[in-house]
Amino acid sequence: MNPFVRVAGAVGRGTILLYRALRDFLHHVSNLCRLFGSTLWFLTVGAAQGRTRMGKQIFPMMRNVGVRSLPVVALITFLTGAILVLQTGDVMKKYGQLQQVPGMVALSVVRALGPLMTAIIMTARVGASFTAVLGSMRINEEIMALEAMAIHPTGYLVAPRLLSMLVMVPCLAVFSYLLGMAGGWLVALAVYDIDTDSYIQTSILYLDMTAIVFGLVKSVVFAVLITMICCYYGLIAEGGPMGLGRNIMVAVVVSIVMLVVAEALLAAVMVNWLLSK
Amino acid sequence: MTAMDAMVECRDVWKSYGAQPVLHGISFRAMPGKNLCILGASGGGKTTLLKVLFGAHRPERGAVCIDGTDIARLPEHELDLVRRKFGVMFQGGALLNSLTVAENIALPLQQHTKLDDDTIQTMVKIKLHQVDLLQAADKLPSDLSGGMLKRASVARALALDPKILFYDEPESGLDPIATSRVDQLINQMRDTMGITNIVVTHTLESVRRIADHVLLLDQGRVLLDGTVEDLLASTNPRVRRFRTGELEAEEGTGARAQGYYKDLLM
Ligand SMILES: Nc1ncnc2c1ncn2[C@@H]1O[C@H](COP(=O)(O)OP(=O)(O)OP(=O)(O)O)[C@@H](O)[C@H]1O
Ligand SMILES: [Mg+2]
Repeated sequence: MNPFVRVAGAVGRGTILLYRALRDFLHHVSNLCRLFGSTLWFLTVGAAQGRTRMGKQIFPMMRNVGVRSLPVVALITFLTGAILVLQTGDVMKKYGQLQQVPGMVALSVVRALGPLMTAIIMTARVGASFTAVLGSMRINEEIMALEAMAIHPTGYLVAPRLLSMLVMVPCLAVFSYLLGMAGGWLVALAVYDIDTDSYIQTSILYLDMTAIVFGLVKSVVFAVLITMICCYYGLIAEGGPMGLGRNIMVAVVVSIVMLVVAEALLAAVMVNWLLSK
Repeated sequence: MTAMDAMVECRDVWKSYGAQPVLHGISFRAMPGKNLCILGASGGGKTTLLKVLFGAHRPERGAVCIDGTDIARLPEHELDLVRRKFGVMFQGGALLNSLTVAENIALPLQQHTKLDDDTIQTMVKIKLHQVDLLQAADKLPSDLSGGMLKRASVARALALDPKILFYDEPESGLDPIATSRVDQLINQMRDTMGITNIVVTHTLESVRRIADHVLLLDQGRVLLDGTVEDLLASTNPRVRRFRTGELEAEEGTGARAQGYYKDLLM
């Protein structure tokens, strides 16, 4: 075949694929925004009018989302702090900056690693189960049954999940701050002989309210992203167990990608704001 | 037909899934306080028709009137008001698997009434008693037998004292005794509470026991709309074939067979 025709054909097919991908992406984004809007409605106006009745499921849900996630969040963020000091301590020592190590740990943990690590753990531990539960409900026609009983699935299923995540993810982020710094402290004490008093003082010196508040705001954004993406992919599941499995995978991947993208954007915003002060 | 207003009425309803047309202009009326049986071959669109009737799917064309309200194009929040008038028993039960049987039946009461917990518990017990399931109140749906699941599903559909009940194959997969119990339950709903029952079924036996009115669907069209006697007496070959369970023998077997082998060998 004429090479020109082949190249043109490939370009044409590529354009069509790109167009389809873009169209699907926009379709999902607009549906997600609509789901988020209606969840917010159910959490505010609907709750005020007594139309959102989440019943007794909310406390077990919060326990599952928050308390039961604490051990794994604690372990991973503690080790993150420890690894930070382990991996940077020798270089810092070489350049005579060992006394700055606690500050570096405090800033990285509070500004970035604490909220982000927590969010990634929550995606795997809680987000995936949101998709699995809502998806199997959809496949078993339980969602259709709820609708037939005039019970709105967003109000009954998504709203309590978003509420639990909004309460619990920032709480876990605060634990991650403390545990990350504790991990750093242990290594600093054991390996580099930095004494506890100066570790605490340097940490406090480096930290300011902006960093802490910003970290918390970020974990609220992360909670929204994880809940909405994972619930959305559950609610649209189809094609039996295979389709459900695929949607769980997609939900986890999309959530993690969106978390990192959001982290990058929010970090840029924060740095811009700090520099302009 | 009487001059009475129909409880459920379809006028020229069309519905397709993507490119596959399923319902081709269905029309019928279901009278209040009567049992209507919807029959037809597997895959013929009975469940689809039922889903259109209770507002889960919107038809592309036509009107679906429930107690005088056309729900075919009703906005979602107004549809919710109509949904309070009926209950649905799904083909697979569709109870919430995370809740016990009792909690499943309490759910619509908790969501739609201001009753306190004790009253709700009492009402749940009444509903469970009606379907003879009191002993299974605290079981999870996954721990019920097929027949119990169907009765639990009926109990949930009954929770808000609906005027209309939709059943999707309440008897399929049940033994003869369980089948007659379900049929008895359906008749009891009509006789004691004046409920309009719309029942999708395969079983001629059950049709004889419960139907006041029969609708036979064939490839998405209404083949017969009448009484059980009409169904039994009809001389239409397609009706007769459905009734007696004969396989499609007469119409163009040869051509179909040839096409079949061609498909196989492709
Ligand atoms: N959600 C769906 N998406 C696409 N096609 C569907 C869907 N549901 C049903 N169909 C198709 O519509 C047709 C009618 O299905 P339906 O479930 O209404 O049949 P049925 O009469 O209830 O059969 P059965 O007696 O076996 O339950 C079938 O060909 C089926 O493949
Ligand atoms: Mg069916």
